[in-house]
Amino acid sequence: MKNKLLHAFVWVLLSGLVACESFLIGDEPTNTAENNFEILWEQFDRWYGLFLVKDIDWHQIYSDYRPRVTSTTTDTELWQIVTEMLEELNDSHTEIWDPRTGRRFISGFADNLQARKEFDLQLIEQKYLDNHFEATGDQGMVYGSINNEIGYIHVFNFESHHREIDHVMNQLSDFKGIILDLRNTSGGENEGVIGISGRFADQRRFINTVQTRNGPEYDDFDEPIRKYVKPGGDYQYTQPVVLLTDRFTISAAESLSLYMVSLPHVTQVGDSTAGAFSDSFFNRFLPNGWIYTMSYQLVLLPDGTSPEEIGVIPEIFLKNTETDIASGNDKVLEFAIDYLN
Amino acid sequence: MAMKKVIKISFFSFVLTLFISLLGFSQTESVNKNHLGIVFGNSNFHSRDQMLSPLNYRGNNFNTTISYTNRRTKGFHTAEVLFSIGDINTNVDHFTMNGIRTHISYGYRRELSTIKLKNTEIPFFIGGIIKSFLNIKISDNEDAFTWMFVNSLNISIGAEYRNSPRHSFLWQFHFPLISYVLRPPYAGSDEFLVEDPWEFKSSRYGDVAFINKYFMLANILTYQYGLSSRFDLVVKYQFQYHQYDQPRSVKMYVNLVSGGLNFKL
Repeated sequence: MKNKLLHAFVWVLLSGLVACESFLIGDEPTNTAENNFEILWEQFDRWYGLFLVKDIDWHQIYSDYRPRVTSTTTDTELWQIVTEMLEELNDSHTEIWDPRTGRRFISGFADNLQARKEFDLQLIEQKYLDNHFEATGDQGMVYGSINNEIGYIHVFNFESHHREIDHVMNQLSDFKGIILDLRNTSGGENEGVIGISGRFADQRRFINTVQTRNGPEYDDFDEPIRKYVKPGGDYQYTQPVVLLTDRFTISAAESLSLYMVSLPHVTQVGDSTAGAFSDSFFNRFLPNGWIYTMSYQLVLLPDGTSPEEIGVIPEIFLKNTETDIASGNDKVLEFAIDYLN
Repeated sequence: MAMKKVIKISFFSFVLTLFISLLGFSQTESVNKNHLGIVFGNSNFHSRDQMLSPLNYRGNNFNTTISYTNRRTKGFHTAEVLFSIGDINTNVDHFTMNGIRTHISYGYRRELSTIKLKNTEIPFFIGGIIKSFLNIKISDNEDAFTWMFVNSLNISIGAEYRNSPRHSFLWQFHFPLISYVLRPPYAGSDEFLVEDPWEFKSSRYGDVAFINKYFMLANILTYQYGLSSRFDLVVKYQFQYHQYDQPRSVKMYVNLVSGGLNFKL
C-alpha cells in the first residue's frame, strides 16, 4: 500500500513533465484554409472597433464569404477571399501581409494611392522653395522658405517624435505665413502631433474623444478620453497658416489636421484626408504565417460624429492632377502661396 | 464580486499570513541556520495568450534562481528571485518572440505534523508565500507585445524526507489564495492616450482575482546533497501552471530543471 502511495506521489510530482501541451493550454490551431479564415473572422469580431460607426454587418459578411472557403482552397485563393472581405471595412488601418511572399493588402487604400501621383516633393524643392531648404536631423521634415516671405514645412511621417520642430519654428518665426504641407504624410506616434500642433495653438481647445474597445460586444468601449490641442514650446506661431492635405494624409497626419483646423488662423486647402483615425492594433498572427492588424478605437468629434472614412474635409477643395505634376506645376501649393500673399 | 467582500478576504488573508510568520519568529528556536543558494537550468515554457494571438508558443530558455533560506527548528523562511529569458516560437518560424519571466517571493512554512516512514520522520509543512510574477512576450520585428504581472498571496504545503544527514528531498506545492493580476487592456496598450500620467487608471489593467479567475499551481521538488560542511549540491525540478480567464485570457506552463549550490552562511 505504501509503495502504491509513493508511486502515485511521484507521478503527481512529475505530472508537469508528462502532461501534454494540448491538455494544458489547448490544441495548436491547425493550418488549413478554413481554420485560417475562421480565426481571422473571429478575431476581427472580438477586437475591431468600428463595426457600428461604419454600419457594417460582420455576421452577414461571414455568410457571404465563408462558403467560398473549402478544404481545397489554395493559399492564393484564400488571399483573394480574405482581402475582398477586409476591403468591405474600407479602413486604412486594417492590413494583412504575408512576410514569406511579400504580399501586402491595406483595406480601402486604392483612392489614397492615387494621391501619391498628385504630389512631388522634389518638384516643390526645385521650383518653389528658396535655395536654402533643409531636412531635419531625424529626417522627419523638410522646411524652407518661399520668396523669403512664407515658411514651408513638409512632414514625411510621425515615426520620429519631431522634437526638432522647435528648431524649425525658430527658423520660420519671422515669416508672414506658413504652409504646413501634410500631403502624402503617413502615420506614426502621437507625440509628434502634440509637439507640432502645440507650436501653433493659441489656447487649449477640445478636439475629440478616443475610446478603446474593451469587450466582446461591438459597443463595449472604455470611458472616452478627451484630447486637446494646447500651446507648447517657446512661442506660438499665430500668423496665418495654410494646411495642405490630400487622400494620403493618413492616421497621425489626420490627427494633426484635426488639431490644426481647430485653430482660428489655420485654413485647410486640398482634398479630404484618408479617414483612418483609430490607432491600429499590435500585430496578430495566423497559423499560415500571415500577419494582420486592425482599428480598435472609436474617435468621435465634439458633436458626437465619427470622422472615420470621411476624413478632415478642407475649407477650400483643390486637387492636382497627374498632368499638373508631370508638367511641373503644383497648383495646390501655388494657391496656398497666393492665399498667404 | 463586491469590493467590500474582496477587501474583507484580502484583510483576512493578510492577517493569517502575518500570524503564521509571527509564530515563526516568536518560537524559542534551538536551530537557526542560513543558506544562500544559486541554481541554473533550463525552462521548458509553453503559452497561449489571447492578447497576442491564438497560437501556441513554446521554448527552452535559460533560467537563474537565487534563494535565501533561514531554517528554524519548526519551520523555515525563504526568499527567492528567479529570472528566465530566451526565444519562444510557434510552428511558424518567423513569429519568434522574446520571452522574459521573473518572480520574486518571500514565504514562511511551519511544521504541521510528522509521520514515520521506514523509521524516518517526515515533517509536513504549511505556510504562506507572497509572490510577484512577471511574464513578458515581445517581438521587435513584428510589433507585438503582451504581458502579465501578478502579485499573489499563496498557500504553500510541503514535506521533507531526509534519509541520511547528507541526503534530503523537499517537496512543495503552492497555489494562490488571492491575487492582483495586471494584463494589457482588452484591445492593447493605450496609455499614450493619457497625456497626464496621473490619469493612469490601473483599474483598466488590474483585477483582484480568486482561484476561479486566476489559477496557478507550483509543484517543486528539491534534492539536496551535502558536499561539505559549507556547501550543498542542489538539484531542483519545478512545474508551474498559470491560467487567467477570459476575455484577456492566458494559459502557460513551465517545467524548470536546474542545479547549483547552497552555501551555508
